[in-house]
Amino acid sequence: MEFKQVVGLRRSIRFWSPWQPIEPEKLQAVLEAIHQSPRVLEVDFLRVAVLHRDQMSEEDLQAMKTPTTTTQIELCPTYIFIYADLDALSEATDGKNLDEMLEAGALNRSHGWSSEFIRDTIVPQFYQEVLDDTDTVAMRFRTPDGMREGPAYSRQLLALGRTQIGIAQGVGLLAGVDQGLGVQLSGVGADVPKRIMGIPDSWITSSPMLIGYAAEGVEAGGQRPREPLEQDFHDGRYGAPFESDPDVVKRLTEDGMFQRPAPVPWRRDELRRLARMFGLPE
Amino acid sequence: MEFLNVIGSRRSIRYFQQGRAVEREKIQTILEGARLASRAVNVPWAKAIVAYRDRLTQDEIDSLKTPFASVEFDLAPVYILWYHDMDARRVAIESSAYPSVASGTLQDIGALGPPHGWSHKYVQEVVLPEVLMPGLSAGPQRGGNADAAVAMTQGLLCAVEEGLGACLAPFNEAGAAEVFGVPDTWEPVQAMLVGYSAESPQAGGQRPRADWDKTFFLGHVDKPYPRDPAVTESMKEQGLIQEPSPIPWRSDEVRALSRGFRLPGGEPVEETA
Amino acid sequence: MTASPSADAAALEDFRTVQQWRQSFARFWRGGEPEPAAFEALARFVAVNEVTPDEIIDSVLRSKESGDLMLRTRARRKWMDLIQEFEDTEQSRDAANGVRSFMIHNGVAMNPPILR
Repeated sequence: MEFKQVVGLRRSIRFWSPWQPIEPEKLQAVLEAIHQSPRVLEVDFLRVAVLHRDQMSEEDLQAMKTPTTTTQIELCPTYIFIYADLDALSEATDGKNLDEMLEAGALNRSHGWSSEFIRDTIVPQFYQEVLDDTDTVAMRFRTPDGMREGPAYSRQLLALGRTQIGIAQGVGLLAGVDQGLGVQLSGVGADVPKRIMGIPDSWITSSPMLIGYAAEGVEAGGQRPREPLEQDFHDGRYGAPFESDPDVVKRLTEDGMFQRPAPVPWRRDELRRLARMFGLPE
Repeated sequence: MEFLNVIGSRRSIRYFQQGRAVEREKIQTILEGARLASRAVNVPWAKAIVAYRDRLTQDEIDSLKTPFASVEFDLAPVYILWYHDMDARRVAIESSAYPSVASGTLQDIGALGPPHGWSHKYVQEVVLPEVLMPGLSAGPQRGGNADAAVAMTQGLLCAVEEGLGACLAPFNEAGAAEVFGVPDTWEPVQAMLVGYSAESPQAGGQRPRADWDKTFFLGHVDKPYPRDPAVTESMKEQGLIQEPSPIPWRSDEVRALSRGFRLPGGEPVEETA
Repeated sequence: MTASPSADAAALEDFRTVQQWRQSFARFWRGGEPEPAAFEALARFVAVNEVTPDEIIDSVLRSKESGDLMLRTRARRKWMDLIQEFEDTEQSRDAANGVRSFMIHNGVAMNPPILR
């Protein structure tokens, strides 16, 4: 699919066809795209675990639900959990990933890179500084016996890990849309997947990506609203809004990145019929 | 451009054409793409400052550099500095102008509704006090935000699709705060250095990635996700998986680029007898 | 399914939470009101459980000293289970969803199981 249409068509889907599994080749295509995501500081933070709803016990499925994500978790056939392994930065202090980038011709002498620079400057002044930062947060995990405290990590390291998760989510969501699937980042009880998939304490996560065939129409009610561009982006310095050029908006609309805004006129009818189809309250 | 080809063609570009400005409409496209990204409770966590190298002094440029990214700041004509707005949740709650969950907009447009358990009363009397407001009194908390990175990534891919070269790199937070007047409630994500690439489209080939079996799992971390070679082959045909680095002539390209930019490493190779 | 003899949908009209249900329903669905069968289902449900509609909601959303409401998770769970029992007894998803709609529009999020 054309890139801008993929961006324009992405919605947070909340109704899936629960009877329709994803073809393995489509799911692998999404994972292959995620595999090509940029790496934060060339560190292998990324870990991805796929869980199929029908492979979970009824008890685990119930436990993973939250008050407002119950329906989508139940309707969606597959969940992609994207993690950052925070121990990956310690492992990267051997400099091997950066050596590999030197050999690949991605990092070069022109920009100051060498094996010595990696070991004398980057590892001690960059990686190690993040690891040694004393502003730390202890991980806490919910268990059947109550809360358990895990390892502590610096806030800088957490920020790098969350950036890596977001990068992979950004690619994965769009890749799902490109494959004709419905996607959503959804809150779940994270202790359940951690337990059943044996996720180590050093892996942090964010909202998993729910993925499957949407039961909603392709517009899913229309493109969701956003605040004006000027509120989020600044031109040259903070406080100088980046003014939106209407001609650009017109071009992006023609290219399919901007689409009909929500709600489309029939959205209530669509919701009502979806609710009745799945036996949901109105 | 086809989506998979955008992903496959993306490289971290570190050499940019000089004297060729980036059209403002392409910068806006990057920002518009980022703004359309998925975000929790529809809060704009991602913020950015667009900076133009030629409007900065060399001292200001130098103040943005880190050991990890230095020459890139000298070569890229545009920097988009991405931030996580640690105050975004509070502002969204207090400002009805934001179309976030707190404003009730998502229910009004039919994105969230009773079939999923949502009502206006639930938002106002449960979600707001019990989900969105707790922790606000502690003030802005560092530690990153995945949604800000989702937006940045969508912007990065827009840059590639617009025919630009781009690279994500860490930047000096204190320097940027001084130069651009960034509020202290913004936590840095990454700088996106943008311009027209001086490298070939292959830019040396697709970069190495961690082993598949150590990255992707099915149902349990002891079970690698099965990778079907036929699908991998199809991904090659569709441009997602491309020739791996280093392509044979990469060292010559880098040497020529270095010479062109008068950077170290551009010296001619001495022929040996 | 035959309605319980004590069920009287009209008697529910004056309850604050029933009025809230009507208003919220009309706001979300752009007019209209819950089906008469939904009111009748709620009437049977409150009769079976010997409570008023307001008592159900007040047991889940309790006022704190600050004036804010606090959702009591166990109470919500209890009503979810009782609504499920009601569904099983009446053998009617529609009837149970009438009660769930009442709960949702009063600020108590809940969903029925779908796949079982």
